Amino acid sequence: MIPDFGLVGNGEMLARVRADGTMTEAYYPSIGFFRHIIQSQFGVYLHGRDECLWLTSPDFHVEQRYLEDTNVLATTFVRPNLWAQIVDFVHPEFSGATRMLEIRNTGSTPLKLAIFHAEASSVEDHKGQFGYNVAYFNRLGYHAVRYRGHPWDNAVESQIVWLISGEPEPTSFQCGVSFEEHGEHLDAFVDVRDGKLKENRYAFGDPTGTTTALLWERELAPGQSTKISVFFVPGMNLFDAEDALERVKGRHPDQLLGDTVGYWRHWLETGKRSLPNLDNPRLEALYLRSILLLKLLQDRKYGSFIAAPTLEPDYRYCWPRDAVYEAWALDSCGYHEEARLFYKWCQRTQMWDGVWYQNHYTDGRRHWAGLQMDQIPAVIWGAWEHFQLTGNRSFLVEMWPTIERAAECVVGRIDPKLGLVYSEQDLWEETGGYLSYTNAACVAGLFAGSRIAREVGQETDCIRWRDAAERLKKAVYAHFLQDGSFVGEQQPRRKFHMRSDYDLDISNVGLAVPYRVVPADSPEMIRTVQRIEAAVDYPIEGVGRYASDLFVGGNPWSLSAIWLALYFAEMGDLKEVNRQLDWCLKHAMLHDFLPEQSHKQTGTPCSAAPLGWSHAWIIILLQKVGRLLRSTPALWPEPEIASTK
Amino acid sequence: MTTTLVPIDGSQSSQEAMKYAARSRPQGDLLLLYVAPSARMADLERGKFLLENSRRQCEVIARNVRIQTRLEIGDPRTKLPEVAADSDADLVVMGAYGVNALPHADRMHPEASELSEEMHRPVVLVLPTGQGIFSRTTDNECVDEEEEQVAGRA
Repeated sequence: MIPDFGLVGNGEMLARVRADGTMTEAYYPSIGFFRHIIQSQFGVYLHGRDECLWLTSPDFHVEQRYLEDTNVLATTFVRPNLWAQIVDFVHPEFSGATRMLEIRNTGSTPLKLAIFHAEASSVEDHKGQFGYNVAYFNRLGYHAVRYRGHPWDNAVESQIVWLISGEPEPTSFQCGVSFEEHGEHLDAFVDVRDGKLKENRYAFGDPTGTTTALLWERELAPGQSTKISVFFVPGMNLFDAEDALERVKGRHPDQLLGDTVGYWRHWLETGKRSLPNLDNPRLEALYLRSILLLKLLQDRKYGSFIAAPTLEPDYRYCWPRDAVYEAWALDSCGYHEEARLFYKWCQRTQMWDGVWYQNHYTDGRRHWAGLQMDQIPAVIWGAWEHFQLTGNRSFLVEMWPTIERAAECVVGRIDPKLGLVYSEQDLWEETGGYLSYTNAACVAGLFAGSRIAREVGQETDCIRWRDAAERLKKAVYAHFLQDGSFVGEQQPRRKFHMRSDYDLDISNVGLAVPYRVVPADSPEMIRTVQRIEAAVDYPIEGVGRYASDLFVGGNPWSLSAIWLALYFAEMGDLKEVNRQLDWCLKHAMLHDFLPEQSHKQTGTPCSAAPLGWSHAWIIILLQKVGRLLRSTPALWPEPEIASTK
Repeated sequence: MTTTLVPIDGSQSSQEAMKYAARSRPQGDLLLLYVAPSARMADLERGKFLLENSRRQCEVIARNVRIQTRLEIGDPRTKLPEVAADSDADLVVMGAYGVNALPHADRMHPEASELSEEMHRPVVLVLPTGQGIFSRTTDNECVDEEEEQVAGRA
C-alpha cells in the first residue's frame, strides 16, 4: 500500500509531502537523482500543559489539497484550540523546498508555546539506507548543514549539500544522532519533547544517520496566529548551497509563494484552453492535475520524463516509450516547447545504430541496456504527431538524422523469413519475442517515418519505409490473427519467461489505439477486446495486463482501464468508457494521482504512483471523450490510420 | 534444527535483521528471501545481488549457520507467509521498516507490522539500530520489548 501524498517541484527538484504533512523525500539535482530522505515534521510544545504535539499525530484532523491550478500543497491541521497549516512549494527558479507554517490559537485563553521543526535527512540515499550522514549548525548563517561524507571535511568535499534554515531566525537548535536517547548528541526528535533544545552543534551518525531541530518560542493571544518558514536548500557543493540560500532568503517567504502560485497559474492557462467540457468536475480536475503532474515529472534542463517518482519499483528513469506518450499529451494541450525539449533529448540519447536503450537517467546516461524495440518507432511516431500539432517543418529537418537512424534500425530488424520485428523485451520488460504491440508500433513508426521523409524531401526513403510498413502490416495480420482474434505473440502457447502464455495481453489493444494498424471496429479487434475483458476477474473488478501476471501478485492497472476506455472511445461507446473511467476514479489516490496498480483484494494503491504515462493517456482519453460528448471536431488532427491511403 | 526466515529488501532495517538473525541463531538454518515485485530483469538482478551479498555477510558473522537463499516473485504480503509456511520456519526476523524507511516519521512501517500479524509464528522486527523491537511468540501472545522507545517518535 502506498500512503497518500502530494508532490511539489520545479523540474530540477521534486519533493514528496505525505498527506499527514511529513515531507518524506526529495530528488535533486535532477527529478530522478539523487534521492534524499528528508523526514521533515513540525510540532508544538505547549508550555504550562507540558504537552508535546506532533502535527502528524492523531490528535489533529488533517486535510491536504493543492492550491487551485498550482503545484503548491496546503496541509491543514485542526484540533481543539489550535489550527495550523503547512504550505509546501518549490520556487520555479530556485531549487529548494519551502515549508511555510502558520499556527493560530483558536481557543479562548492565551497560549505559550514552542513551535519546532525536526528532520532526519539522509543525503544521497538511494537504497533506503541511512549511512554516513553529518549535521552541523552554522552559527554565522544560523542554519543547519547536511551532507554525506567525512565528518571532518565540513561539507566542502561533498557532492551535494543541504542547508536547513528558518525564517524568522529560530530561538534554538539541536544537531543529534538518530536514536540517541541521552547526552549532548540527543536525537533531535527526542530533544524536542520537553520544549527545549540542547544546542549541540555537531553530529554524525553511522549507520543510522543524524537529526536536527529548530525551535521558535511564541505567545499567542486568542485568535492570534504566527508564521514561520523552513527552507530546505540544496547545492552541488557547500558554496553553491550557501549562494542558493542567500537568493531564497533575499525574498520574503510570501513573495516566494506568490511567485510560485503565479507561475503555475500562468503556465496552466495554456492547458486550460484545451480542457474539454466533460460535465464532470472530478474528471475536469483530473485532466488539469494530470497536466500539472506531467510538468513536475519532466526534467526542465534535458526534457526527459521520469516514469514515476518511486523507488519501489525504481521508476526514476526515462523510458522513451512512456515519455513519447507524455510529450504527446502535453503537446495536445498546447505545450509544444515541453514536447520539443523532449525530442531534443531523444536526439542526444540515440545510439549510433538508431536505438534507445530500455531506460535512461534524466540527463541521458543509459541506465539499463535492455532493448525494447517498440520504443524506437514510438519516437518516430511521436515526432510526426508533434509536427501534426505544430506544423513546424524545421523541427522535422532538425530531427531527420535521428528519424533516419531509427527507421533504418526498424527496417533492418525485420526478420526476412517471418516478416516481423523481434524484440528482446516486451513493453513489460519480462520476455522477448515477435510481439503484436511491438510490431504495431513498428508499422506506425515506419508510416510516420515515411511521411516525415516526404515532408523533408527524402522521396526514396519515403517509398522504401512505406513499402516496409505495408509488408509489416500484412505480416501482423498473417501471424497475429489467430482463430479470429489477435494474439500478443506469434507463438502464444510456447514457453515464456514468467508467464503461462502470450495470447491475451492488454497491449494487444495497441494494434487499434494508438497505432491504428487494425481498425477498432473490425470484427477481429472487437473479439480480441471481448476476450481480454472476459479473461480477468478481480474481486475489485478492473483490468490487468494479462491473466497469469505475477507483478506484485497480479493486479488490475489504471493504465489497462484507460487503454480499454480509449478503445471504447474509438468505437464511440461512451457507456463503456465511463465504466472504465469510474473504476479509475474509484481507485485514484488523493489529488487524483493514478497508481500503476490497485491491489486486487483490497483496492489499495500499490507499486508506483503517480504513474506518468497513465496520466498522459488520461489526458488523451478525456480530450476524446469531450469530443464525443460535444460531437465537435478534433482540436488537433487524429493520428492517421497506419497506411498511406 | 531450527529454521529462521529473513526477508531481505535492501533496506537498512533488513540488513540489521539479517545480522540479528545470524548472531542470535548461529547454529540453525537461515533462509534469506527476496520477493521481487516483477519478473523484470532489473528486479531479478537486484534480488540476486541482495541475496548473494547478504549470504556473504552472514557467513562472516556466523560460520556454522547453514544459509539458503530464495527468490520469489509477487506481492511480499502474500509471499512471505507462504514461504514461512512452506519452509516451516520457526522464527521470522524482519526489518521494522522497508526500503522507503521513515523510522523518524513512522512508529513502525505499517506493512511490517501487518505482516507480522499474518505470519502465525514468532516474529522479531528489527530497527535500523539493530534492536529487536517486537516479538510475536504465538498467534495470541505479543511481547513488546522496546515499544516505549519507538512510540515516542511520532
